[in-house]
Amino acid sequence: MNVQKFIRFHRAVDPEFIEEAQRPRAKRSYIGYIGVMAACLCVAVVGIYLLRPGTGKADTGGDAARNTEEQSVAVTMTPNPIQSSSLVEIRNLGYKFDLPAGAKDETFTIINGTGAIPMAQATFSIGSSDYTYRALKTESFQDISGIYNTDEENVTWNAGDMQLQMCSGNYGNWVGWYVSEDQTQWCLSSEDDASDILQTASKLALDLGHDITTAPAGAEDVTVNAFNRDGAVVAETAYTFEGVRYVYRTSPSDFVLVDISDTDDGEFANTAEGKVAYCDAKLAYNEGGQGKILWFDIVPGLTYSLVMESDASPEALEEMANTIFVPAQGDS
Amino acid sequence: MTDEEIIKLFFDRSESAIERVREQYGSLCASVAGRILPDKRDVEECVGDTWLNAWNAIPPERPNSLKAYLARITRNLALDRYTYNTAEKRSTALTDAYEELEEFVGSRSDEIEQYEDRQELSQVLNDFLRAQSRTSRVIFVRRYFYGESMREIAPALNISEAKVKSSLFRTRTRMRETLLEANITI
Repeated sequence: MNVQKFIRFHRAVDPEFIEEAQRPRAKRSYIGYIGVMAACLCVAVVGIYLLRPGTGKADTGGDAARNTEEQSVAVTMTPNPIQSSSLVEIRNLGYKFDLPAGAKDETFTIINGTGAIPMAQATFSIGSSDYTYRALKTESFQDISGIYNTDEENVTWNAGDMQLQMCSGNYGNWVGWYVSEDQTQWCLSSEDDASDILQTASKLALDLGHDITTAPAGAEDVTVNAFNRDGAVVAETAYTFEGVRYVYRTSPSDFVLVDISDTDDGEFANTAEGKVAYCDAKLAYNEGGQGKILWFDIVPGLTYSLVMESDASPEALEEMANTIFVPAQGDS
Repeated sequence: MTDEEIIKLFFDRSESAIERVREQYGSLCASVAGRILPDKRDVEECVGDTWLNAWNAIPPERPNSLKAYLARITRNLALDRYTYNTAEKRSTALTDAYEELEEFVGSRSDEIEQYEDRQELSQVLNDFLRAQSRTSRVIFVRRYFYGESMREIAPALNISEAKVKSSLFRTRTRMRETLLEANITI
C-alpha cells in the first residue's frame, strides 16, 4: 500500500461525512416508530460497545483492545486540565515565555496533558486582535493549536534549524514553530488574518532569539506575509540584501512545480535550468534586471520561488536560492 | 447522561465533563483509533488527546452530536499519528479496508502520481458521496474511512450483512465510474 496515497485519500473526504457516519439518524414524524428505531439503535450501539473488543481483527484483539481502554482510562483520569497561572509560574516550568510590546488583557494558563511538563498558554490582545499563544516541551513538531478546522490549508517550511507550519482554516489561523535546540513547540493562533498572525509570530519568535523568517544574515527591511493563492497557503519573506530586493515564497504542491511568483514569463528575455540543493530549478531573467528562480522539492511536496527585483543573473539567482533554501527533510 | 448535559459540563468548565465523555465514548474512540493505528500506545495517547482537544474546543464549539464530534477528532488525530509512523507500515483495519477499495477502483495505481490537483480529488470524492443516499454513504464511510467491518456496520445500522455487502459493491462501482469520468485513478 502506498502510504502517501492512503493519507491523501483519507484527507480528501469532507468532515461532514465523517461525522454523519457516526451520528444517529434524524428523528421521524411517527412517534412510535421513533421509539422502536431508537431502541434498536441503542441495542445495536450497546452491542457494538460490548462486543467490539472481542470482534476486532487479530492484530487488535480482545485483550489488546481492553488493555488499550484500561490504559486510556489511566491517562484520562485527570483533574481539570486547565489551571490559571502566571507568567512567573510559566517561566518556572522552563518556558522562555514573553508577550509582545503593547499586549493587553493578558491571561496565563497551564494545560496538563500527557507530557511531563504541561503546556503553557497565554491569551492577549493587540489593538482589536485577540491571540492565543502556546508552548509545549516535546520531542518533535506537533500541532498544539487546539483548533480543529473542518476546512483548512497549510504550508510547512524550515528556517534555520526550525520547522514551521502555517494553517489557515474556517475556525481560525495559526502559526507553529518547533525549536529543536530547547525541544519546545510554539504556536500562535487567532481568528485574524493569517498574515497578521505570521507577523506577530515573527516578532514573538525574534524576542526569544529565533528568526522564523527565511532571510539571509545581514538582510534588511525583512517582512513576512501569508496569503491564499489558488486554494493553497503561500508563506512569503521579502527582504533587501546588498541593495537588492528579494521576494521568497513557498507553498504546498502535489508532484509538480508551480510558479507561485506572480510574475509574468513574458517579462523575461532569458531562461535557463539550474539547481537548488538537489532540486532541479527553472530560471527566467533579464540580465541585470528582474529575475526569478523556481524549484520544487518532491519529498515534502513544496514549491518555491525567489524573485530578484534587480541585478539578476543565473549565478546570482542560484546563489541566493541555495543560501536561503533549507530542505524540509534535512540536507540529505 | 445526554450529550447536551455533558456539553453543559464543558461549558461550565467542570472537570467531570472529561470523566463523562471517557465513560460514555472512551470505547468508541479507542475503537476508532485502534482501526487506524497498529500500536496500542499510540491508540492510548490518541484517545487521551481527544479529551484534551475536546476540552480546548468546547466552548466555543457546541457539537450537535458529541459522539460524532469525538469520533472525528479521534480519527484526525490517529491519521496525523499514522503519518508520522509510516515507517512501520503494519496492517490495520483501515489499511485493509483501503486496500480492498484500492484494488477494486483501479489497477493503474501509479497514475495518481500524475494527479496534480488534490483539491479536485477532494471535490470529486465529496460530490460523489453527496450524491449517494444517506444509508449508502454511511455504510461506505464507515467501511472505508473508519475501517469498520461489515459485521460491525450491519447491527449499527439495523440492516443485514448481505445488504451492507451489496451496498458497498454498488457504491464502489459507482465511485469507479465517477472517478474514471473525472479522469482520476486512485
